[in-house]
Amino acid sequence: MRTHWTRRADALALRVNLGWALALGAPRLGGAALVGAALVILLRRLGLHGWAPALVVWAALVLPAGWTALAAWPRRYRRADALARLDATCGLDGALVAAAEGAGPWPRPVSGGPRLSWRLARVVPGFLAAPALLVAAFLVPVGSAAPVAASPEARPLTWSKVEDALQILEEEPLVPEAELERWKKQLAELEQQPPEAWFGHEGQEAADALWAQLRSTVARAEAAVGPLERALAQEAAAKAAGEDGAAQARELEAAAARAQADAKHLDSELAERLARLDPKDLPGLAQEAKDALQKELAKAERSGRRARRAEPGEGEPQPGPGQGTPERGPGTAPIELMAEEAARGTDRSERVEGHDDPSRDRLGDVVRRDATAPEVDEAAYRGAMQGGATPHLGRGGAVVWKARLRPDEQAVLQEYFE
Amino acid sequence: MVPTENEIMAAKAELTALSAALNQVLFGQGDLVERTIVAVLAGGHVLLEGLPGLGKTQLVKGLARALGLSTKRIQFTPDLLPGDVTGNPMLEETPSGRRFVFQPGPLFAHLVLADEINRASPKTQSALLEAMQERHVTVLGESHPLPDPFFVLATQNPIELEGTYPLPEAQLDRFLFKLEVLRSDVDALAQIVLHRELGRDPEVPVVLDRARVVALQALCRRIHLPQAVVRYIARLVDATHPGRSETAKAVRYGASPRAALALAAAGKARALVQGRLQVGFEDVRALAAPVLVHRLVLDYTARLDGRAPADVVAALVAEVAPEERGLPPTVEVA
Repeated sequence: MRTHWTRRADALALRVNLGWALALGAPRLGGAALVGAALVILLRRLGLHGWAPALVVWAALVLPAGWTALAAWPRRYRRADALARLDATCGLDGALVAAAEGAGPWPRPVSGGPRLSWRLARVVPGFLAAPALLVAAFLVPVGSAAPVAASPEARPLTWSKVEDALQILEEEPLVPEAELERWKKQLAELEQQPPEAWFGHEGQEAADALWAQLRSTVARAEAAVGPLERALAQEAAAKAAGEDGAAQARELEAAAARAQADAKHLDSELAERLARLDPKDLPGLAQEAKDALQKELAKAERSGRRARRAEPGEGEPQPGPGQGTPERGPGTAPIELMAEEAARGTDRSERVEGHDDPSRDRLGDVVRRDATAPEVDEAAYRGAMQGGATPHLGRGGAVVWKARLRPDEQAVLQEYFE
Repeated sequence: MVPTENEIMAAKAELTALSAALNQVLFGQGDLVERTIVAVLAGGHVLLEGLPGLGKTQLVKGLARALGLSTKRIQFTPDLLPGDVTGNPMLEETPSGRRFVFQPGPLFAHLVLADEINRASPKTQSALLEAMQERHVTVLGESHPLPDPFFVLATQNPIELEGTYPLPEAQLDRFLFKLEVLRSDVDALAQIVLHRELGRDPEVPVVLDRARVVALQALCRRIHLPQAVVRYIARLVDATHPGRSETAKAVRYGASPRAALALAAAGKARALVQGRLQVGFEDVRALAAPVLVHRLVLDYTARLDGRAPADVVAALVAEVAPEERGLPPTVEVA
């Protein structure tokens, strides 16, 4: 008997306690899921993915469970409560509770008992909404609050120019190797800056300075070899034309001397080559040797020209649409909804076209500018006139019938009025 | 010490015979008879409320006859003095001289019918109610114990209230039950017409005697009162106070601890009447109305809503569950 009643009481208590857990847990779980979803969205917006949102989800599920357990503990349905309800609903007239106290025998099992039913309509939405909210927090698209990090594809355009120039100068040497190494080092220092600083004012200034320095050095090297190459070409052209070529030879000697003087601005190999030349012997060299020298100089000069223009070779990637801004590199603008949404345009001053408010005009402002030309009535010109003479008789009054009507018409009118 | 099964069975047989005898006096008033017997076993006084001619006096007479107890009747009127109830010292001539001798009043009986108690002055009511509580009478500084057992069955008329003195709440609290004597239905009236003659009292057999009544009262006190039922009584009485339950919003003053004691004693008596060793929740529920209705003072809003104390007690019984911890909103009783 005892086992029968205690088992029934425990089952009843379990059911009621489960009801308490559901009743108290639903609003807590719903609230925690709401807060958790907001936190997940916030973390995603801050760019934190992985364990942080997962920790929030774990907390949103575990903390309400603990909170519910704490809240339900004082309300817990004990075996004594269940025995009391069984006693009252089975019509046992206190026999069951008295037996539980040891004051009487356990009553025989009877049918009936507390007829309890679930009423879950108020708690089911909370339990369904909580996981839906947390899942939705991961699925809803959000913009990133962190500054837009420049991607490797979106690098400052000046860097690409410097890199292209360095590549050209390595393939076709023109400037000293030390200069090349220094530029590479400076470019590497720029690349080591945080991506958000790449397109900042200082970063752009530094890149522009590096590019200007490179162009200046390359231009100086070009100036060192250019005159000699042109002198060799003129001298060869003169010989081919059968001319004397004495003037060209003198010019060649002078160009060679200047090139040797400026050899410090050139690649070491090229400078050594020029140093071995004797300007006075240069006109007397074999034509093939002069042609080879001219080609070499022309190649160096072309290399410098290409490097200054930073002309990429065929097949190299071109920047995408748009050349960017000081805050953003070239390429396609990254899509960010929040940036446009947050921009309220308070820094703009708009003015309705055509609506002039004189009170806002300041002294010296251009208030109005018309593009129309003066209208000239060309029909008003009746030809040359003498002073005091009337060029025509007018258009109204008696003039009409006196000047414009035919004689027979004038006679009819005259007769009528007389 | 918990009574034995045999003791309970013997008592139940006697009480069943008593109930059958009284049911021959009052036809169709089984609940009233049972509650009156319960009050006798619990040692409590009863306030009967009902229209004239419904058998209140017959019930008291029949009860006294069946119990083998002495009975007195007091018709309360506005000019009734306390001494007329309690008794007066009388000057007596003796060979040794004159002396005062206490002449007991009508209170000195086992069963007293206080008819239309609300027609007496508060002074006289107070004297009666003091005797009910203290079970002795003090006259000229001398206490005179009342007979044991001592029961008062007071009646009052719900109509003709002009010139009456309603009992104060403190005095109403002395009554164990307030029972409403209802009008009999057609079948009961037919029984009355068939078995009664006008002006002649019915024949009632003697079922018990005074010693047996006292023994049954002692047995009643030994009925086991389970702890769960004790807590239920306490919660039910506590719930009568404003702010302690939803129903008590209509209550201005709730029941006193004496009400809880009355519920416990009456519950034991009812269990004995029904032949049980212990008090059950149903005993408390069944007796909540007669114990509590005269102990609650309702708010004016309840009066405006037409709610009587009996309605409030019924709502309280429905609101307070037998178990201490309530059910969650997700679980409902089908």
